[in-house]
Amino acid sequence: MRDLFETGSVIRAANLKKKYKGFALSIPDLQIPKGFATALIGENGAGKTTLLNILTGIRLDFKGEVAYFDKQEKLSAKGVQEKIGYTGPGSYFLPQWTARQVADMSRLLFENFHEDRFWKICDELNIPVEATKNIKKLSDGNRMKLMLALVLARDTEFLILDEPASPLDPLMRDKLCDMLRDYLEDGDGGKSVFFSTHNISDMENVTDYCIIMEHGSIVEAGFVDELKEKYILVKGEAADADTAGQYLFSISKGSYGFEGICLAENLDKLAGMDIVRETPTLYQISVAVMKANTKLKLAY
Amino acid sequence: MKLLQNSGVPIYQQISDQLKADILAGKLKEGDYLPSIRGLAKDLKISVITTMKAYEQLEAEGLVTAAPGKGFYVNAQDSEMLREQHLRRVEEALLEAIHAADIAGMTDAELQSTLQTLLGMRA
Amino acid sequence: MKLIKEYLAFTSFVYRSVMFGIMPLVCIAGYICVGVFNHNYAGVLFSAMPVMVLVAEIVADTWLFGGIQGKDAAKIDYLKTSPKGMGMLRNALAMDLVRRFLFLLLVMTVCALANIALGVEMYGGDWVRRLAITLSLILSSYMVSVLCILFARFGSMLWQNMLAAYLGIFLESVCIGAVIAFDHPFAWAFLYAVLAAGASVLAVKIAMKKVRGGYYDK
Repeated sequence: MRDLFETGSVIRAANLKKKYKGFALSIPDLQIPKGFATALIGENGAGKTTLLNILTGIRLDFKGEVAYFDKQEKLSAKGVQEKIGYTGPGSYFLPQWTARQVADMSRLLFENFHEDRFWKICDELNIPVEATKNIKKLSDGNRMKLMLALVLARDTEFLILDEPASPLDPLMRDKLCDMLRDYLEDGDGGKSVFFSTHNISDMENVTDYCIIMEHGSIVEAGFVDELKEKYILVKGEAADADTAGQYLFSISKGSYGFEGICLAENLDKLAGMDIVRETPTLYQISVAVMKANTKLKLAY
Repeated sequence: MKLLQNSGVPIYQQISDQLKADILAGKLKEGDYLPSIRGLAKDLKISVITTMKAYEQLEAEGLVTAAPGKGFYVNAQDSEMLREQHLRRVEEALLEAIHAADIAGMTDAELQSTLQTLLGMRA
Repeated sequence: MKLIKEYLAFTSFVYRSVMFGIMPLVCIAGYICVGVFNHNYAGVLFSAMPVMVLVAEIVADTWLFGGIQGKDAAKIDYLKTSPKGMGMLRNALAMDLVRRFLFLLLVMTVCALANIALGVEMYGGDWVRRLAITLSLILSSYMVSVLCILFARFGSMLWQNMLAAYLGIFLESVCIGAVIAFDHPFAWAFLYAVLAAGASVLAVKIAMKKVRGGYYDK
């Protein structure tokens, strides 16, 4: 196991608590490794956006402590918020704003905003920036691209991206991954990314660390390679399905056999069965962990 | 570097295998630095952790050393250790053959004679 | 300078072209044209001018701060990702009010000067009385304009601003009627000034309260 204290963390939070009607966020301990891309995965309503909003500082009514960067400073400390770039769903802009206006504002809002870089990225990503084209006329994908252009045009050290992949097409998702890898390489260990996503497969090859949330709690967290050793994809014969089922989560049975995810430590319990093992994808691990914790009534 | 997505061999394994081959073949010499972790991840379009894992594996095998803040450099390769590496690969391949023989229901004698035959064919 | 830059960042190119260029030019040029051809019409138009400016201001606000007090837009997360965001928004809201007042003052002053130059007869009495009436027109128009955008900013749709503009026409007509019917122009000017100041403070406060509310649960 890699030690998070050793790699350093960009965020350390303790005893985060937030209550809504019918939902409670409760995270006793949260660390996001420095220099890596961390994915936040979970069902709708698991509390991903709430957590990201708390970390970004756009939600203030919560309990707990959050410390940022090496010096473990508060968000209100000088220069801390300046180093964080955030893109999010919902009302991020006023709908009547244009790209030109947003650039004007950014120059005033952030000292580390480079307008020339912003227009260059807009051009690269083919974002419509005509003076008459306001944000409500942009498609969801273009709106996402505009937000990305804004944060990437700044010299930040930490990106918090809420569902960046969802509104993007496959080509642009690929580009997003490239941009995030560029960002990480540019920081050479000093820049970090934290993003929530439902598009696990598309984002897997840019995901280093993974946090899975359910019902406001973190149910699994770890470096992806370590998770892939902790969880094993097992396939076996139909006759063994019921016995194996006790040790597997997310099992699917058919007349030809079964397939499921098993904790590596439980693998010896399947000894004697004719099974094959495979390294699961992050998507398979995530679905398995989510299924084990969901309130959805899934028929197995 | 060529990576296969669906070969069944994990990506990090493919990277460390290819780097290992380069080191053993002398393409990467003693004291040379491996590409930066994040730079290689970017070039290969894979996650940082995958390259890191590959490098950690090379480090565990004693082929490279991590220099904090600078990256990984190639160690002096002693011939004894090189031989050790090759022997290990031979063992792994033979173990796989034994496993296959078990499933096929071959006796040990049959397996040995197959090996003999193959050795004969090589010569 | 900083305040002006902060305000201008909230205005789009189209908004600037219309509100800083076309609108005042059309008002002034139109008034002078009418004044040259017909003094009687100009006299009536002078009293109607504050209403016209007010309608333009209220309708155009939909492209400036439209919906800023609304439920959805109240968050404006992008501004909140900068430590300067909320201050910038407050300054822009305040500067917008200053700009409204100055433009109204400019248009009415030019029209009044045109009256003197062209010899348009209006309101009767000495110049102090005329000045007081003009002042109460300006202040009432500003006050009604602020009150109406205060109402319109809860929604981001154009029709909401149009509705507010209709309300504005009605209110402003009452205000002007009051000045002309009850002959104490200075008292009215004073009353409108007080109300205008109150409305201005309210406009900034309510918008900021709504936007800051996005930090918390409602």
